[in-house]
Amino acid sequence: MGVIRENWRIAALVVIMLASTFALFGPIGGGAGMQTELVTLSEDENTLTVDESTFFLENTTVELTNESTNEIVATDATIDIDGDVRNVTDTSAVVANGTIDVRGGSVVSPTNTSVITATNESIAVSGEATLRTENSSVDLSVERQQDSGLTNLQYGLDLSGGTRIRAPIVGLHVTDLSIGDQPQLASDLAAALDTDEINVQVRPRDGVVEVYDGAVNKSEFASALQSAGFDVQTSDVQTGVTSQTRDTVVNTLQGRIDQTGLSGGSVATAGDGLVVVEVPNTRPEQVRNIVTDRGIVRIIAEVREPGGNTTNTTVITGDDIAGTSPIGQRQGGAWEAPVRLTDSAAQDFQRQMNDLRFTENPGNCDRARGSGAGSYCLLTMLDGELIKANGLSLGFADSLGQGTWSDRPEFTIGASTSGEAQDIKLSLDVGSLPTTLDLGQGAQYDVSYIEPSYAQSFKPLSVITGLLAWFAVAGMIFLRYKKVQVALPMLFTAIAEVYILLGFAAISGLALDLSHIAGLIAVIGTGVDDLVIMADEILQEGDVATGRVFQSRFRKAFWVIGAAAATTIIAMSPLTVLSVGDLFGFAVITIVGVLVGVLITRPAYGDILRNLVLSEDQR
Amino acid sequence: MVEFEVPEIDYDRYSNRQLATPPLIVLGVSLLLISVYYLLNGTPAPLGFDFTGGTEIRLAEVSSRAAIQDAFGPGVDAEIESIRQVQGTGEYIVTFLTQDSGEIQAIRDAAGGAGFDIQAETTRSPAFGSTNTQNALFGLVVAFVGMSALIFVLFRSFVPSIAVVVSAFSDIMIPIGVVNLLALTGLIEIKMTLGTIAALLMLIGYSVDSDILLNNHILRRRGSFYESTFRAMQTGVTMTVTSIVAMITMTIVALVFAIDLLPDIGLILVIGLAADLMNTYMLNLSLLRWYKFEGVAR
Repeated sequence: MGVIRENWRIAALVVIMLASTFALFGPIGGGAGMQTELVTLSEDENTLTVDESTFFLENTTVELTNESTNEIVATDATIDIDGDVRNVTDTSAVVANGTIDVRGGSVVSPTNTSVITATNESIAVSGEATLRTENSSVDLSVERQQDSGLTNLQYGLDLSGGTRIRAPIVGLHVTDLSIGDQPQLASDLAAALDTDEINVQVRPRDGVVEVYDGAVNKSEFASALQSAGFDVQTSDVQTGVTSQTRDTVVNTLQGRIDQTGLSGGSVATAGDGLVVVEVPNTRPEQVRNIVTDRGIVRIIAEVREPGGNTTNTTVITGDDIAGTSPIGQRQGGAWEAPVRLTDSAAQDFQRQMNDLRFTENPGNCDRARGSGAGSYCLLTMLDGELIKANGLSLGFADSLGQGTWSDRPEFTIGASTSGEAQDIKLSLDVGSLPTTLDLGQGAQYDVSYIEPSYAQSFKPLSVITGLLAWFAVAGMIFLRYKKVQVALPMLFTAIAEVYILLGFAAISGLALDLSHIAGLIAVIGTGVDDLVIMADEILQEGDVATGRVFQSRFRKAFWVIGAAAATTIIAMSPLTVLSVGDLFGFAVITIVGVLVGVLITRPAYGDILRNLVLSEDQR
Repeated sequence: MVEFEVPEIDYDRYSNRQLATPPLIVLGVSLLLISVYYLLNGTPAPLGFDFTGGTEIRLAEVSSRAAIQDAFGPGVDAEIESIRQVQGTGEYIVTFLTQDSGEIQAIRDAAGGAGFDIQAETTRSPAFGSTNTQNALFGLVVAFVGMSALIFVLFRSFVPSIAVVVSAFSDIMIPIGVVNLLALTGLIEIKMTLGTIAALLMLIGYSVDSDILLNNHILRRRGSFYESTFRAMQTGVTMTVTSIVAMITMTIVALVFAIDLLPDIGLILVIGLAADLMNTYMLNLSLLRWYKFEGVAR
């Protein structure tokens, strides 16, 4: 026991290194997530074996046949097809109007159903089937149990690839208003600001008014509020949105990314009110759309009276939807997103359809027709854009007219393409964004994309770079001290610091980026510097005759090391608060590294030296 | 066998003025270069894409520079800001001034049409870049002031403390001066990136180490001035030279592997640490010697 008590610093180092080993290689940490990989099926290289994985086909045409050598073997797999699946030559792999059936796995298309409704032709993958690309290459994103390699380390955008968008949220807000009972306030403000009413939010209880329209500036907002009777100056208008709205935006974006099947995507807020969206394996244009589309679905009843008057009434909004079903194709090629309305919304819709005389004019929808004849159309609007115009079908009009439809309020939202139908369903499932991220002129944003294979090649290369830097240090240390018993523990201690830091990264779930790698190499540098200070101090001329002399030299060396560590921490701390690009990670690693060094590894090196220079009874 | 021994310098032969003059001249020239660059370009150093905004794409499988100019010539509205070849590879980094998503799509299409492989693509708005610039400058100033305050608290006397602060200041200014010199003469184009900012901050930490060590040995230890100096140098020069070797290795290896960020950091640190050798053992030392033999006596 005495030995351990004397060498408790070494013992502490050993314990912490064991803990780091456990963190890096043990069954803990957040490393067990799912990860998406991109696989390209092209003319010549088309075999994909899916094992305990999910694969997604998006907006592509696939053929399932048995004749090709390009095969997809799905065992214990989940298959999610979002796109057009064609009936093909070899019917052994095709079941028209059937279901997809994967042995030992589950089917997610789009959610919780075994029926593929991406088309009216479905496929069975039982036994062996093959997947062939048609005239072009197809990118498949394959979701697998995260193959985190040897360690529990997680890698950020620089080292794993994908897209990251950092951007502020579109909006202006005023707080501390005393808003009485003014139900018309939102629409009045919208009219004054010449914007849609959905872009104005009034929360009387919090005393907050927000506007989500990039075209509205602060003074316009202030004067609109002044006309509404509030004592508000331009300087009272704040850029950005309230934290409540920001949370909604973050949650909705996260939901959208999860539902789109872009696995591993994350949404978080950063300093300066920025939102950071990271999606592995996805191209920037796709992520741009995710963060800039509001996803507002509305059904508008457009009535063109024979006299020429046109009236638009919003009859269904996202709030009226109780649930959705998988999208499907209609006779004639159009697409639809089936939904179920809430009971009260169903009653309203039924009443409005009767009031607006839609029930008397089934199938009468022709927007191109001249003003002479009447036209009754239900317009599907997504983010203010017309997606499709439909008339009421005869049967639908009947049940609405008899008032029986609201007993089973199922409705299909029309769309022209499967992509639109899917977008509508997604928007209804996840909810719309109150406002979007600002990627406009003058906004403070950045969008980065790194090709996954390219980013991942940095992993081994940066390990080699770090190792070579360490060898260079080792060479210098050997040349300087020429004593293996001084130099070896020094190099061991320096690498131990990096090891403990990696353990820290694994256990805290820190996603490693290039800036962290730079920080790790910096830690090797400062670490060795401090060990040189200790070695020189303790091994200086004149024997370390007693334990007391050793203690005094150790303390002197530690004064310098502590002072140097304190300056490094002070120098790096601004970067942990200010947002300067990606330097946050670099600063954190450097600071933690210095702390690990001062508190754990460098004292342990002192103990190692003491064992080397003092004989048994001198200690 | 090669040996690494720290030479004992006969400081007696030089006056304080002789010792302090060369580092001060180098510092003066650096400050002059920074001012000249500022007057000519409106920024204290050549600012890279991290600070100016725009769109940067990294292309692989490019046959030549001319192929890039052809590909992004007609049909792409966006103006090419710079084309940089990644050392020893068929990879190029092309910077455009645009941040418009339509124009970026046109760039992507043009790259695809020319058979280039887009390895990475980053778009930064100018507003984001200018926030980066402000925060980076502010961070540097806060770090420097914090470090200075700590040094004054540690040594509690003016001359030794200011000696550390001045030589740390010079360590930061000299690399910026060198970058400006290279840019002004048009030799090599190194631009300030986030990596260089990180390196400058790291220099504060690194450079102060050897200064603290020197001050500590001379002011707080027994033994003659020159004995203490030599001991501090043995340790300090080993530290700094080791760091320089590590950083040279990192820079070269990262350049060969075409890894981003690391070469920027390495290069600035190599220049800064070399400057630190000069500043610590000439400027700082002369101030300390004056303080020890004349300042204290007064």
